[in-house]
Amino acid sequence: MTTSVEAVVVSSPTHKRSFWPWRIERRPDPERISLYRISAVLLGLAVSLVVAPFFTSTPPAEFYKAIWSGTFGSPLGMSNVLTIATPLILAGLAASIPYRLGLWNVGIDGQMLMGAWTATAVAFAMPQAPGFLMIPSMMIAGMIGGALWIIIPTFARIVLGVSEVITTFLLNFVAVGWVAYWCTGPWYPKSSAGGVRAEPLPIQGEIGKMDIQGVVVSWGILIAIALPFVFWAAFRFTRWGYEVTMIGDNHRSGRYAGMNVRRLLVTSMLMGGLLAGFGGTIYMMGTSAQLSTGLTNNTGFNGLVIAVLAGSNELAVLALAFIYSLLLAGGGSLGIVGVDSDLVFAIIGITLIFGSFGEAYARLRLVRTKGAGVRSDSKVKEAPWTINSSH
Amino acid sequence: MDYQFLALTIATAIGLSTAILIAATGELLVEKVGVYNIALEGVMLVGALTGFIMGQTTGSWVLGLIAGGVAGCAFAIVFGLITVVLRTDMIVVGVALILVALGTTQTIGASYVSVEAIAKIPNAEIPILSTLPFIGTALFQQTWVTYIAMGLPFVAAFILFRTRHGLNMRAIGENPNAADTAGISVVGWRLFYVAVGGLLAGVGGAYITLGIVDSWAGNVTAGQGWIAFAIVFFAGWQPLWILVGAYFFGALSVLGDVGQIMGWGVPSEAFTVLPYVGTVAVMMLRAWSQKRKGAVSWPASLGLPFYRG
Repeated sequence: MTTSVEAVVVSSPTHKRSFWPWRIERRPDPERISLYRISAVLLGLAVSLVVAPFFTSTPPAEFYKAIWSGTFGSPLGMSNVLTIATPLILAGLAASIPYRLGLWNVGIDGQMLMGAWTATAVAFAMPQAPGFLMIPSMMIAGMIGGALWIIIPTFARIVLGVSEVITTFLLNFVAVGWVAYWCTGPWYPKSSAGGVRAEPLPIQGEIGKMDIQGVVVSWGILIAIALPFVFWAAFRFTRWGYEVTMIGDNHRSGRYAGMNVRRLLVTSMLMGGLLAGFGGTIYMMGTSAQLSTGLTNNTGFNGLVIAVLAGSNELAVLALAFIYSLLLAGGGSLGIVGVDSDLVFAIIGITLIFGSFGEAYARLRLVRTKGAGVRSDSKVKEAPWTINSSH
Repeated sequence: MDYQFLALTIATAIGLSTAILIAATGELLVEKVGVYNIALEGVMLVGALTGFIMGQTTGSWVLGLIAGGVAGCAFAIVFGLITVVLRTDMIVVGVALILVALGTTQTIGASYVSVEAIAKIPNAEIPILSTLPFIGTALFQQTWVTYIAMGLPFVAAFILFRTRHGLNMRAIGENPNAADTAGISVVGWRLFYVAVGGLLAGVGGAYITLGIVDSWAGNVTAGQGWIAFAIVFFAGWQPLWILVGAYFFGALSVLGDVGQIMGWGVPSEAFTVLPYVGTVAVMMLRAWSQKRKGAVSWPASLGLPFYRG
């Protein structure tokens, strides 16, 4: 209800100076945001996949054939998809869990590398240990390494109020430098095979591969597929999950309910680092079995994207990570028909931008300003996807 | 280390910092009005390729820089329209645009890989000053762009702290609602400065392909956009500290190579990670000292979408 007094207050001189007869404002009760976002993402994917071949000199038929054979069309393609999906699912979770509390984990690549580094250090410290001892120790070491790498940004964020966006992100470069030092120095391989790589792991430190009708993939994929279900359940059936969900919705109400917000912020950040470190470790153990600076290949960024699109739903993380791996594997096979495989990054980027448009459409509306003094903005609660917590 | 070598080292560090300095000054202006353009790396890539292609077709580095700037500006406006006008998340859109820039420049620029630039930016030796014994070699044998870039932070400082418009800019960054009430167009000026920041980043990108590496390759910026982004935080949003930060980062990247030549026994990675460690440490120290004073250095609305009311 708007009284005449409010209308007078609101029609300030700014309205008359605006030459744009429309104004964008928040919808008072945005509905089905994730539906709009996912529809827009699918639309964007379709549009960019249709348009993409015209940016290349390859005939569209061959373009799509290459993508098909790089994914569902061949056992090798399917193996690639599942291998790429393994760290991607974990990276998605590593971003998704802090994101529930409005925290950004932009340092997943670094945490993955540091997890893999710690695991490698453990493996080299006990080169004679049997596999049943070495593999669990490496996995635990990987988790610890990843979690340690996020401690400083967490401390800076919670105690000093420094935005975790920039600190987590910058530590990626430090991790790359650290791994590069070990790969070129103490762990320099006896037979170098291109790239910055360390001496390979002891053979018993590798995770075995399974072969399902020609689709060869490491056992790591089973863990990666199981974890989203574990967290999905944890957010519904454990006290920690309940508190994180509740505080994610509204910091203040949780505090009134006697929850220790600070403890939850710390644990969710550490959980993000832990999952990232674990992801880097099992990916390394299941593929090259060798630490390298190119190990993650931007998996962390892709995980962040997945987490944002999935919007606090672990099962959506799993599904999106799989779709994402299809794109990456299909894009990788474009090299056969002479297309730069990085074109797939453009496809993903455009898809994401479509998603942003969908989200904007669900949240905002255009209002004609001519003669209108009514505004409904002020009664809308703060959108949870702003970085309002970083100040 | 003899003096000639030291002078050349300083000259190289200054030359290498130019692109970063230009892009970081632009990003500072963007952040002062409350937006951070995370897509800086992508904007620089777009500028680098466009500038290079323009340089190859026209043979003029001036036109190359202009084309790089225009392309960067256009690309940044896309970022601005989506984040500032449509109020979507800057991090997500920034990451998306970096991916778009990476993918499209690799595809379009494929035929330009490992072609030498024909329009290299020449060094401009300043008549008398460049003959000075030590300083001449170190400072006065750079390109014109480098000299202009040195002045940019001073221009930014003047605009921000000595003009009424600068006061408005800071008001938009600190308290957009108050600025809006005072009749300043928050969305308009944010969009404008995103475009200005994109223009500068595009010029910086073109400087990389025309003035530093003299060729195009996929992902030729190699993280310089991210360094520029970090420098703004390192500088604590102070224009003149941008200058310090850019040259400090440039010096460290040169010191890695110098250390190898001189056999200091320090791994070169130590120099490459130092800027990032330094930025995190400086940010934390600054936050710690400001926490006791109760003030913060970043623009208060940084990263927040603006809604009237």
